[in-house]
Amino acid sequence: MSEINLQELKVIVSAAAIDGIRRWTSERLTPVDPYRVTTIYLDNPELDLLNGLYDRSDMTYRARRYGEQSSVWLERKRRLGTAVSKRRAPWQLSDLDSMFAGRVPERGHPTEFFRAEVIRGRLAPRTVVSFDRQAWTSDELRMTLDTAVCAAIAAGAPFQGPAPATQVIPGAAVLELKTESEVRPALMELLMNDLGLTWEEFSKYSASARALTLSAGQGERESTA
Amino acid sequence: MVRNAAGGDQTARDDFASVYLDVVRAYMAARWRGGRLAERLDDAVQDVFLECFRDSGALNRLDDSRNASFRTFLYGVVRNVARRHEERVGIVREVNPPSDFDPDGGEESLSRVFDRAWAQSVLDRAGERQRTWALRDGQDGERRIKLLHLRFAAGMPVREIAQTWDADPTQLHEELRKARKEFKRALREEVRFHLPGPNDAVDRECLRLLALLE
Repeated sequence: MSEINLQELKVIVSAAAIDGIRRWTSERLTPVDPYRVTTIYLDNPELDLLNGLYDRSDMTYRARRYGEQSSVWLERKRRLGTAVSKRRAPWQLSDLDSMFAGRVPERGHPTEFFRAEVIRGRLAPRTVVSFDRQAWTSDELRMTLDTAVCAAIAAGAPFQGPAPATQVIPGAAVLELKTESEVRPALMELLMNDLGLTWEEFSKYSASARALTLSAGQGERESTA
Repeated sequence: MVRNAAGGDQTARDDFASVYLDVVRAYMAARWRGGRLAERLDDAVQDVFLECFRDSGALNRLDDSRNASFRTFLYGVVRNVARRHEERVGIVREVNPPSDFDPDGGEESLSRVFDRAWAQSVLDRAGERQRTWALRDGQDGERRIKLLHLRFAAGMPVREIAQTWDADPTQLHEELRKARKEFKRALREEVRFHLPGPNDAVDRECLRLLALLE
């Protein structure tokens, strides 16, 4: 399965800056209808992924659901600096518990990479993070603004529990700029310069773990399949 | 190194051959595995370097201004040399048809063999680079290299390493973090050696190489 290679810049923006960013962006990029995103982050019992001790590069394993869709994306995201490589495949929400238990799918299925790692790495859901996403696109750039970022310890059936309630970055938002272009698009530089933004290292999983004071062993649960 | 090798510098040529020998050999071996052409493997590998170094040869045609990676360039040279050897067999084939290669089919998987060999070679050299740095740090550096190997190559959890070494796991976590940082730096430097460019591009290439080895 092929990898999606991106350059991704992240910035935490204050509540006061959000309206200005929306105005600036709406004048230059095409908006996409807002949607809700809910993500389950997986880790091993020692939380090695969280602590950067899982692999030579920074990695995230997650299941992501857009809105109320009946399917989710199983993803592995690898990051080095601003470079991101992502592998993803769709999976039925109704079978997610079986996937987390490592029982499906058959070998050769597009999600095999995920199942294999769940077993090999003893990965299980640890935190759930939800947020409201507003997105804008151009030919070579995608920008997203994530607000109301909230987290909860993973428990119960995936995506079935109460909405996460612990605020991860109270009042602030996560601005992400993504491009598949080899060269950083001029519009990306312009936005950073015009709005005085400086990219920073930020991970929703790490931030959620901090907000929840996640510790080893938390997020363990009995399979409901 | 490449420019100096093209200019005739013998040390640079030795370095060039040392750096790329395994990659070239891996591709040729995969292309001719199990067939009669495998007997030509050493000759073909040697021909690749002769092709690179001869007057008006491949390295002299390398255009620095083009935005192609050196990996792509070298792949083209290696493939052309392989095809030349196959054409020679092809002349014989009219009399005695061989079935030991498929010169056109499977090019995609062969390209992947080349890319994987390239990635492995870059990672191996990054590992060597890191080892050289770490050993300057004496026993602590040597320990970090062992730790990195046990955790990521042997797949041992940190708590097991801590038990084996009778060490504090928290201390090992810190050492492992440092070792990872050293590895990233070494990998970036090794990639930059082949792909001089902005940090963003170097990081993307690093991730591409890591993904190729999965």
